[in-house]
Amino acid sequence: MSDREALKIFSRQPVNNDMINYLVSTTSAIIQIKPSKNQVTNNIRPLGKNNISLLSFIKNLIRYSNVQTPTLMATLIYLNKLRNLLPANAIGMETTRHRIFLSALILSAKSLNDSSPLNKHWTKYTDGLLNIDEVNMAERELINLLNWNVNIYEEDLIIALQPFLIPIKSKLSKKLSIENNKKINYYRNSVANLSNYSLQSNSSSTSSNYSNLSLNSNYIYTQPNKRSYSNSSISSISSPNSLRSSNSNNSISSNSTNNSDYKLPINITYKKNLLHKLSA
Amino acid sequence: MTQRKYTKEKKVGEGTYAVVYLGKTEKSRQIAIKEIKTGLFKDGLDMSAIREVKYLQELRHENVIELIDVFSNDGNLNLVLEFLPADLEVLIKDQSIIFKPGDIKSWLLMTLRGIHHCHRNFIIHRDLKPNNLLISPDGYLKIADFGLARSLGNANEDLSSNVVTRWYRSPELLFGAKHYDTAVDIWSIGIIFAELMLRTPYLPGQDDINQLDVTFRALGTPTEANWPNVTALPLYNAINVYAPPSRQELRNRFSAATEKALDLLIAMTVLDPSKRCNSTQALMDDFFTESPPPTRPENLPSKNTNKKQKTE
Repeated sequence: MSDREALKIFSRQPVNNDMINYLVSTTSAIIQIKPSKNQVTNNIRPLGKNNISLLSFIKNLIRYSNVQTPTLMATLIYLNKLRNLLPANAIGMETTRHRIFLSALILSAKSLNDSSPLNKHWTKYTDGLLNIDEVNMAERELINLLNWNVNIYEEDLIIALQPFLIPIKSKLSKKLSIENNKKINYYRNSVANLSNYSLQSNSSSTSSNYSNLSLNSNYIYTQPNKRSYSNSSISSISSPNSLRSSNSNNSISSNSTNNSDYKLPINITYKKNLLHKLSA
Repeated sequence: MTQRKYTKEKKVGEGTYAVVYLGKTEKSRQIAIKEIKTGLFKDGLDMSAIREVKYLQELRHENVIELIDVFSNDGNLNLVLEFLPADLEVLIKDQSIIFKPGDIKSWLLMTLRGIHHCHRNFIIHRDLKPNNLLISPDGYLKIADFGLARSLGNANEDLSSNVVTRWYRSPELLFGAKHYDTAVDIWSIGIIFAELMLRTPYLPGQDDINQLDVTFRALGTPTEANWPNVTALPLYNAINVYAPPSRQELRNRFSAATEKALDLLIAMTVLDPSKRCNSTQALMDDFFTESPPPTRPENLPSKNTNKKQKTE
């Protein structure tokens, strides 16, 4: 069963908890969060009582916006890209992950659908966690980081969604092999009948032909079961902490010195680092 | 940072949503910079800006405008595009320029090549009109303005039928179809083809209702017989039922067209989108191999050469 077909089937499924959990873990893997106590110097308003977990934040967004699986899961492409762009020691504040996910969802909705909620609506969907300027800022920040490259390619989707595609593929290939076994049995039976029938005459040639055929098809259809897809993409996503370790202090101090066009809602030093990388 | 690579020299146009400047790159290549006033949008990035960048980044073709770079400054988004001084609308309106049959063939061919490239990448342009077909200094026609473009994805998805400038809108869009495909672009090109021959808009409706009337007066009212299930479309109405035009009527309407030109025009403006020709069929049409051959881009009429001719 091909990845493409599995992807097609996947995109028709309704949004479920597995998808949401996967989005949460992917988003969380992008950046570390510093607890709020240490955010004394932070100039963006403190979180206060609106302390909402990323999981419920994403759930609320899905509920309010009624976003469907393709648009929702396409955010994975942007999230993965962002993860590769940010340095391992990037540190955000409490709402950074929320902002990252929301901006990915906005970009995905705007670039894939003919009509999309406006940012003022998205702001409402955050239940007061963010204001319109913060939403706009996050959106612009993300698209700039992506270098305006918002295209989504099927190959990338297939890699990013592999954990969901594997079960679909194995289910389908099981179904196929059951059907096929039925067919083979049917042919075997008919071959048996046939060879019984024509035993007296030139039976040897016909029966051997038929058995060859069934052998071949058996070989073809059992292949997919044997194929095992590499789990590398999944495991690397779910174990981000090992990658992001040292050097956390220096990123916070530069928060306040950040004098770019927009204040970063995704409040970290990656801009600097990025420049270094580019010039290197 | 990126802006230093480009200079803005002259403002050449201003719309509600963008300002266009002429400029040069570091290597003194002429460029146009389309500055989109994202600062004015209190509601985040404009969807059509995102779309335009997205599709132009993906498409690279001789007959599609080239996006050289994207950068933002002062909260504005800047698209650095190749410099294209003219468009087909200007040429059509300039009655002092004479179009030879080979010229029309050449423009139509370049339009079809560009749209074929879009379609084979599963992108529908959805706003083809002479105004969006730009002409390079060396005569090449390039499709521009991908602000309404979208990719052909999931067949279950609803698409907006409120696309394409009215005069170039296909009957399925006029009827409010939620599922349509690349055939809407072919219709637009067919209407542009007619306009190139007539030198005046072919189906100039005054409003959306009038557009239906103008379209069907010229091409006949769709019925269940020639377009199965047409009556199921949301805005279907057949208050005025016109008979389809006879071949002779079309011959009279396009007196300069050859029989092969008429065949192609008819194939591109079939009412039922499923029977309309696609870009491949159009490109393979005999019209393009019959004499005269399409004019080479550098020999096509343009505003400048015409002025020169006048002064000579």
